[in-house]
Amino acid sequence: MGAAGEAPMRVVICEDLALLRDGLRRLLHDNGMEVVAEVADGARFVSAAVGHKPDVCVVDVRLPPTFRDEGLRAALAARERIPGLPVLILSQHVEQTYAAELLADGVGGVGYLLKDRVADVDDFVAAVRRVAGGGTVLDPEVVAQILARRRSTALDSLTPREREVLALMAEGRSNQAIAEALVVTPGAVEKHVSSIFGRLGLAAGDEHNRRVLAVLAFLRSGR
Amino acid sequence: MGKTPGRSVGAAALRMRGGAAILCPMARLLAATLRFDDRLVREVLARHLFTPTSGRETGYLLAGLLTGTAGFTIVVIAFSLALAFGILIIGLPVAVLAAAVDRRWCSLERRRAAVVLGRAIPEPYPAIRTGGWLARRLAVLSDRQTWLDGLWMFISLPVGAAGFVVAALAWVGLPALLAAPVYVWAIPGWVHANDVAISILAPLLAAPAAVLGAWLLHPTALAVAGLAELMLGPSRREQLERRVQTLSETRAGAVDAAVTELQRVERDLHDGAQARLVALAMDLGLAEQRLAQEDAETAREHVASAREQARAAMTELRELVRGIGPSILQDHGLDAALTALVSGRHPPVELRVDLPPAPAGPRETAAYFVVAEALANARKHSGASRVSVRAWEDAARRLVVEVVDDGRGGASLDAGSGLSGLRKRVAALDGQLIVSSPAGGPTTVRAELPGGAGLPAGGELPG
Repeated sequence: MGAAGEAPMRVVICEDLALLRDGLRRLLHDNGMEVVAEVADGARFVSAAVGHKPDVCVVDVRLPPTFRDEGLRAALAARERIPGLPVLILSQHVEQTYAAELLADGVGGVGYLLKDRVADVDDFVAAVRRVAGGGTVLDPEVVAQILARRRSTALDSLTPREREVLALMAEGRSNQAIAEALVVTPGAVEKHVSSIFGRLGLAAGDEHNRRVLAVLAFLRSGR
Repeated sequence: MGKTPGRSVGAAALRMRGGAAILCPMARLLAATLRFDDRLVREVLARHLFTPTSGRETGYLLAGLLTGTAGFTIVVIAFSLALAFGILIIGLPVAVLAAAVDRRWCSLERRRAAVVLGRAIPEPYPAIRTGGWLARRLAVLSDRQTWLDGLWMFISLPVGAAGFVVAALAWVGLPALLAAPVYVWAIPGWVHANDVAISILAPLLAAPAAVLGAWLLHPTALAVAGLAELMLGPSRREQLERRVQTLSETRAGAVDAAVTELQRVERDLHDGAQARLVALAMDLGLAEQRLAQEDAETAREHVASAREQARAAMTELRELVRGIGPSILQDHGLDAALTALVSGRHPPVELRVDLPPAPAGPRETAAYFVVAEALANARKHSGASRVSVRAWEDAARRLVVEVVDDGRGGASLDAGSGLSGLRKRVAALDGQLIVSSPAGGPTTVRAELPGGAGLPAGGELPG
């Protein structure tokens, strides 16, 4: 999915703490991306995103003036202007409801990660690329929350194994990666995935879109 | 001034608690006068007339005759007019007007008494907001306090006269009575059959009477002002209601302050240590990546940066912990805590602590945070070059801390400032936080915290 080809990936960073803004720029730059804009608040982010049309945005959820969820609001506003604008939200703590809000349009190209994840530089960069490619990356923490709080929903019709596969899908893993994590063959994973789509009533069609919708269903099950 | 004042003063002395204790020295004074030994008289007058409060008490009592006369006149005229016109329809407007004048007059009396008592007498008038103009005016007329006001104005004439006599006797009683034979001689027609007795007795009684006046000056002023407070101030029930009101407000303020404080801690953690740790982890991650690529030089830079972030995170955490509750305050008290707080500060802080040693309680903690916040403001915003911190216990046993800086001023108690949170914290302890910070400076931040929780601000409730 990642477009690590000829032109470097163009990124807009929105983070109010200069310390982390600089760190993110350095990290992304070191990994062959071009940071086209760095902003510190939601309003500037929306105009920067609209102006630069970046390949991906990295946004801190908590921004001035109220330091609550301006980052999320700004990301949603930007995606309204540019549907499908890939946005990776970073936060000191994760809440599944935020993730569900981001995914609600069902378009994908959304990531939601704990800030801690930047320490695993390779994984983080991979996540940025996956979001840029239209994938969905949820923090394992969010996935764990959903599994812990799951109420009775459509997901109950899934087998425990299928739920495991769906959880890994929510984290943004490819079928190959899921197969590795569960120590099964990629063919087995593919069978599970199509079974999940069937049980969730996701009609045959664009595989990528169905993955997003499945993750969304997974997210909603935790509410 | 003839015998009448003397009798009235004597009666006042008898009414007073410990009247007998006064009569004995009186006899000694009389003996001293007979022996022309004035040393004792001078000593007593000096001790009782030249006290720090005697000036305003004298003023209060002397003016009391004037205000008493005026108040009496006003209320008698107002009452008679209202009564006289009562049969006509204009009796009502007259009564309404009279009540309004009474209230204004008694506000003046409250302020006068407050000067002597050293505490404000709140207006006890209930707020009347319902009903039309006429209904509100009628409510004023039927209010109990309106009538108490009138009664006070009525009795303020005799009370004022008595007070005037005491003050006059204290200050000019000695020469005035000694000179009695001169009046007898100089004013024809004033002389009666007993002029000889007056000429002899008045000078003899001059010293005891003057001393009695001096003795009574302070208690009389307090008694008159106390009576005014009793009649014109809020009743105990009203005071309790106000107290409940204040307590609910300060309690809400304390809860607010606690929430604000928690938010501050959360914010400091998020923007400080937490961000540092993320940056540190990021640096280590980058270093790891570089090491995998065998780029040891860049990796070393990332590790050095990581170490710097770790150091900064530790500093920020330490400061945060200190901001939550300095252990030195609990272990060694306010004096030691303030010393630790100001040491090594820039701008340099001059500290003076004059406090009895006491274990740190809520008020010491509040005082500590007021100083900490004021110092932080002085450092961050004011550009001060000198700061002084003082802490002492005042005459009312209140803990007072005062931070003065010579910066550019402009500190405020507005919502959202660090000081506004502290004001709520101080108010929750029945204290007050006073900030004076005109543009251009200097800035004074002062907190006054009463001793013992639960005492109303400004003194005890009357028993």
